[in-house]
Amino acid sequence: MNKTPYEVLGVSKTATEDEIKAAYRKLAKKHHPDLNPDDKKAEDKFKDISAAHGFLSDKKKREAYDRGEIDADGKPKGPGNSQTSDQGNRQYYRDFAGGPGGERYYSSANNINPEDLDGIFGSMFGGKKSGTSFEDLFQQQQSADVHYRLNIEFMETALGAKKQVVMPDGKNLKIAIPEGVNEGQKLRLKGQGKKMKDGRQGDAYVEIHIAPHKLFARKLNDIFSEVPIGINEAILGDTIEVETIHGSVNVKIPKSTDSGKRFRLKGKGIKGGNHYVDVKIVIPNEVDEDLEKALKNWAEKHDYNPRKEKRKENA
Amino acid sequence: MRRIDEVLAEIDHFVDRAILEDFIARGWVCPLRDQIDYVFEEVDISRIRLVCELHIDMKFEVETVDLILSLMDQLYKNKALFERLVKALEEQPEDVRNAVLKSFKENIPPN
Repeated sequence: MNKTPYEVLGVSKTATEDEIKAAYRKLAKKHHPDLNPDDKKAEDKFKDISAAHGFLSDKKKREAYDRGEIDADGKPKGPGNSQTSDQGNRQYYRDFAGGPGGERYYSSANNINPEDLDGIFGSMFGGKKSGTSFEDLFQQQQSADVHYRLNIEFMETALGAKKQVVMPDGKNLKIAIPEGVNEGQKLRLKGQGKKMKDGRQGDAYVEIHIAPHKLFARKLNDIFSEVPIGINEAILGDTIEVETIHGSVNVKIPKSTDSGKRFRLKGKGIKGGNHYVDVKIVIPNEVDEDLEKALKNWAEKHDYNPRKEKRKENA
Repeated sequence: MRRIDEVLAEIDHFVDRAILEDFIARGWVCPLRDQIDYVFEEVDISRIRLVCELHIDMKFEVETVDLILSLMDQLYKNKALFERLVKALEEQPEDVRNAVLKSFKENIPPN
């Protein structure tokens, strides 16, 4: 007899929703087919676990099952149990990872390349290289598709751009860089590969590499930068101009702004992302008489010591 | 090859374009792009499902998902290398194959 959904998840009939979820997570982590690529049984186990979780997470079904109104052999049947059949027909990442598309995912989108093989076999054979390198072998096996790497400017990736570039093999390509394209992403240019003798026309694949920018850093669609402010601006407040990828904008610096304070410029990042600007207080290279006098005057009248303030905060 | 809207309709988890673009930006999913938009192959769709299960169902944190996918990708890379090595061996004369297999078995550590 098949196990009941409760038995599959290893929970009691009185288990709460949270207990069921927790049990599912624990078992799914252990038996997910993609986390057990060579274990054929993992798929069946994961199917049962997912079906049991799907069944018990459905309050109505669970209640009906507990009342004995629907199938009690642990394998839910009838309408509404699509999870079982979905899971049955489903394919996992491991089913495709070994195929041609799977190569895109190998170690940060790096394909298997001749250097990998030379490295492995180089160490296997005591560093001796044979007359024919693996690079030569790969060249012979090349398909109609061609692969390029392209270094592009930060701003071209942030805002998108149209480029015409000449590749190392002399091929002239017109490329539309999509806005917000990511490091390592591959663009497919249909029909821009090699024309083979058998009539096949390959595609060109261009792997994007982004040059760092002197002002901006990027995380997902958000932009980060640092802007210097004077001590007068930090203390008295002011409105300053800040460069963003969409041009300069005015930012209001409130009175008493500390170094490192972060301001969010909503929607000024990539594709609606934000721009975060950190202010950095910069003191003048030369302290003139006026500044010195003003500060001395202030210091004489105030007992201000930031280290003491800090100690007070920590106390 | 499918477009983003078709993929979103196909995925059981609640994933919208912004979430999917976040997966892409993190490098978890690497669809190809043509001059219009992303294009997804079966491998990408199964990868999205996997990411959803890891991150949404199993509640793995971002850093853990990064780690799992990185290890998984290294595993598949090595598997692919191994398969190519086996293919290369299959193309060798029988005595070469036998010699390599014999040596290989001798070098497998005991359980």
